[in-house]
Amino acid sequence: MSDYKNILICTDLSEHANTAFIHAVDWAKKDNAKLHIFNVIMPDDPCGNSGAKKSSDFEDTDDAAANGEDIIQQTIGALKQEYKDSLNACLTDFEFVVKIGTPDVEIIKYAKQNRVDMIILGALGIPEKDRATRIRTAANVSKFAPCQVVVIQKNIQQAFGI
Amino acid sequence: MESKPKNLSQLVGNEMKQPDASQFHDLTFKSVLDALPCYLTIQDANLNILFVNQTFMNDFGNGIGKACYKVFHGTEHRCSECPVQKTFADKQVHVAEEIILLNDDTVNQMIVYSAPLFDIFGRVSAVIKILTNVNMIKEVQKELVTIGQSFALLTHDIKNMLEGLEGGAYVVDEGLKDQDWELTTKGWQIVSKNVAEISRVTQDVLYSSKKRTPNFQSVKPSDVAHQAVELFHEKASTLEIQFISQLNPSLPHTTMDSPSMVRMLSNLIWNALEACDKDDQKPSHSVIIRADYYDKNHFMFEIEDNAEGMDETTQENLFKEFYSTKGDKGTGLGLLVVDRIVRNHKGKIEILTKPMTGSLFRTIFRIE
Repeated sequence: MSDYKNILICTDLSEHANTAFIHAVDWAKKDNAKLHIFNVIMPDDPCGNSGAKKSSDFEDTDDAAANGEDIIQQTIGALKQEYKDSLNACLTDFEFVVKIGTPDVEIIKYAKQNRVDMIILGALGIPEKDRATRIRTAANVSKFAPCQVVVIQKNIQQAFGI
Repeated sequence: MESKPKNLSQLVGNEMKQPDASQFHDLTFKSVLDALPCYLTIQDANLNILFVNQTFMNDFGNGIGKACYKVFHGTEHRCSECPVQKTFADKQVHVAEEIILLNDDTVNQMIVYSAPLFDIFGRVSAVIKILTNVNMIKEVQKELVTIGQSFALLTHDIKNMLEGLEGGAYVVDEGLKDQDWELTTKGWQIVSKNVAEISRVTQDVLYSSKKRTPNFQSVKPSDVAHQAVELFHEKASTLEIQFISQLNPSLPHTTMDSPSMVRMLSNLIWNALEACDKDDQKPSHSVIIRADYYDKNHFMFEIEDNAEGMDETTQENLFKEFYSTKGDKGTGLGLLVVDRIVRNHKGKIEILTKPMTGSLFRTIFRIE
């Protein structure tokens, strides 16, 4: 069995993602790995015609605060609120990361740049009726990621009322 | 009568102290500087801006007192190759090309001249920096290079295809002579394939070398994708590649130049089919075309294959002119045309790829 050093858990705070998160924490604890808790915000203007910055621009420009840093910080706050207690109880090495862009592209880019050796993500994300996007994040990450990918469904027992 | 300064060097040279912004106010020739169709600044040794002309103010706002790298490049750090710093160091005129960010967030290529302004001791007390926007010239230069290279490539490609046509015609002749319909059909397939190739290459060359005015109309993205898909059923079947279209019919009408979009999709589908044909590592191949919502205000086209994918170098060079991985089979114009059509529609291209696995090209557009 491989020892994973950098595990990326992709979450949109959905049921599927929260179940995946539990598995990711277990895995990181077992392998003493760093856990990257990762969220992607889809931009209002994905084509960049309004002058809004892409996520990759945020590191290098002062406009970040005006264009997206606030929402990134708010999202990091929400992730911390949701997950920090369970993380503090069993892990020491973890990081919250939020990017703006298309989820599959940003997840794969981050995994390549940070030598992630396993990506864990929920099967479906937020319910289909509540989302407009038809990006096939789990399928595309599974196909194009440079590392192992584990896709996890929400608690099956709950889903079937068992 | 009060004497008026004849030039900025005199003005700077008459004073033995470091120049400041107040010196440059109320100049009689300021109106001349304001009218110059280029950006003009005067900067001190710390690269702070002391004076700007009206053209500068129109596009950058009032930059006086700010560091030039902050105004022109939006950074806190000095540029590694700064002509103004060079002029302060060696008292010479320097010329450079810089990428400058305007207030409206547009990126522009500019030719930058820096020239010294001396005090009476011959020291450089300030540097005048003039920036000329050469975006249009660069575009024209690019077009000319494209046209020139297009002719060379077109000649080479058409020569190959004509040889293919001659070969096919010979097979047809032989089949007709012997009344061998199987041989005739085989020859005709070779002829058809080469006619299609000539048509495709010619259209790409025309598209990339000629400026077209897009004809925007209200159409359904799924209909446009369907038109492109229809063009390739036979080719996919001949290559024994599974060809799947997943087009969401509920996508609303949106404004686009439909023939350009069909061309864009055709080039991406063609590339995917060719990549599958080239890949001999897998027993079967598939190409999937999707048209669907990116989000509630945008739609996307996706063309996905399970061919050999791309390495980092190929990805970096994808949209450069005449870069092709297909050797004699490709001109490298296909993706250039895709890029141009996407830009004309103010869209965006995203690529997912992995060596030995496949590629996905996604183009995103606003629903209008």
